[in-house]
Amino acid sequence: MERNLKPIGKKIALGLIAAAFWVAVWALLSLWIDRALFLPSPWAVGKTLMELLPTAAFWKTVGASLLRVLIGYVAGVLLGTVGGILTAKISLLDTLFSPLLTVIRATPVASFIMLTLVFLGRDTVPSFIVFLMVLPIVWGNVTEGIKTVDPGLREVCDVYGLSFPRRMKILYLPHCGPYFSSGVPTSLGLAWKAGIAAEVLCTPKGSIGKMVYDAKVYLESAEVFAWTLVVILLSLALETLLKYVLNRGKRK
Amino acid sequence: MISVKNLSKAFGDTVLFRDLSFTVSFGERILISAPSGTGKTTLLRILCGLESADSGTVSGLHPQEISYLFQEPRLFPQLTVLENVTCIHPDEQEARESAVKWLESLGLGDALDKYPDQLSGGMKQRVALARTLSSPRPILFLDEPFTALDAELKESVLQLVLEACKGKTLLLVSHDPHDGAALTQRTIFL
Repeated sequence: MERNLKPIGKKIALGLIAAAFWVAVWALLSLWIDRALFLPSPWAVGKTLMELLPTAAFWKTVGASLLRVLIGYVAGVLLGTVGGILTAKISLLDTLFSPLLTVIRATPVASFIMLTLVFLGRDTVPSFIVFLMVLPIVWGNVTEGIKTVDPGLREVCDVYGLSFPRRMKILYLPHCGPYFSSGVPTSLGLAWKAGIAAEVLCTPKGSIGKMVYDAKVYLESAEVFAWTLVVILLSLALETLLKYVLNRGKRK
Repeated sequence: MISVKNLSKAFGDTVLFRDLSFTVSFGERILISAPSGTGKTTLLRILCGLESADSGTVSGLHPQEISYLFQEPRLFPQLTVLENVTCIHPDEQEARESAVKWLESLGLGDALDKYPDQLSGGMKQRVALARTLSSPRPILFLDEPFTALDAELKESVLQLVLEACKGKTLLLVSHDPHDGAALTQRTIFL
């Protein structure tokens, strides 16, 4: 156990040193530029953040944005998983959906936001954008996972007439698990960023995106940075939590 | 009785066998012999329903009666040795006792909780053999079952397989005539 803890401790220490280095670079740059409007200092941003943290409005805003992103994210993961399974099994569906997924992957987020804003309300667009970002990633990973299942092992299942649940348990889930668990946390980071970008452009009431937008309009750079910091920290926390949950089921 | 009539199979221009006909009585032990790469494995795969023949018929053989040892061990990487044996049985708990018995007989009693990537080639082959032999199915297809085993181990495994074949039908593919002589009663040449 001790042998395992040492590298983890070392990794955390190195991470903190690297973070401290970049904060120092930021501090020096802000001193050199000496214009809080362009680049506020780390302590100004920290002070703004400390002022935001104890307020109920802050937590309400964070909660509302989190909920919007999670709705789109869960919908994207669910539909991506079902779609991935179907297209891996039915080649006609694969042919049919491939171009659509390619278009979704290639289209800029801003274009989607502008297009969907016409049809959907400003409160719904962020969730829908998150859904669109997550869908092709999960879909592609699940399809890839199923398609690369060892055909030899599939034949063993065929020979012994194993039931669908048994096949899922011993063949598909263990094989596809890593594909799924690599796509899901990656897409969460992307989903979070895309969701906030959509909020900035759609400005739904009581959202992080609206706070960033308002702070920018009123030239409150420290507040823009503080909210951005909140987005980064939440993204890291969610990704770490998800990785932890997905890793719990892995073989010891 | 298993009856194979006028069975033909070719891959492109390469003809593996043409108009192959033979019968196998239940309880018979047969060696399928042919030079390497001439369709012995393909014949087993066709009989098992994993591949289709170009022409000909197979009767008296149902895939659900066959327990098949493939040329490669084909073990599930995320399952332990014991789970790899019990997983083919409808009731895994019930099959546990028989699985342990076969694994112990094959010298794998200490490896029940190991995973395939922790085993040598010979051990993997024995796990696959234990899986095949632990099945109560009445027909055994064994495709080169002893290739990864050393000479000393092979003799004891041969005896075990012979024991397991009692009252069962065996179709054996082996490049070694000694295996055929020890296990089978008759040879089919492709």
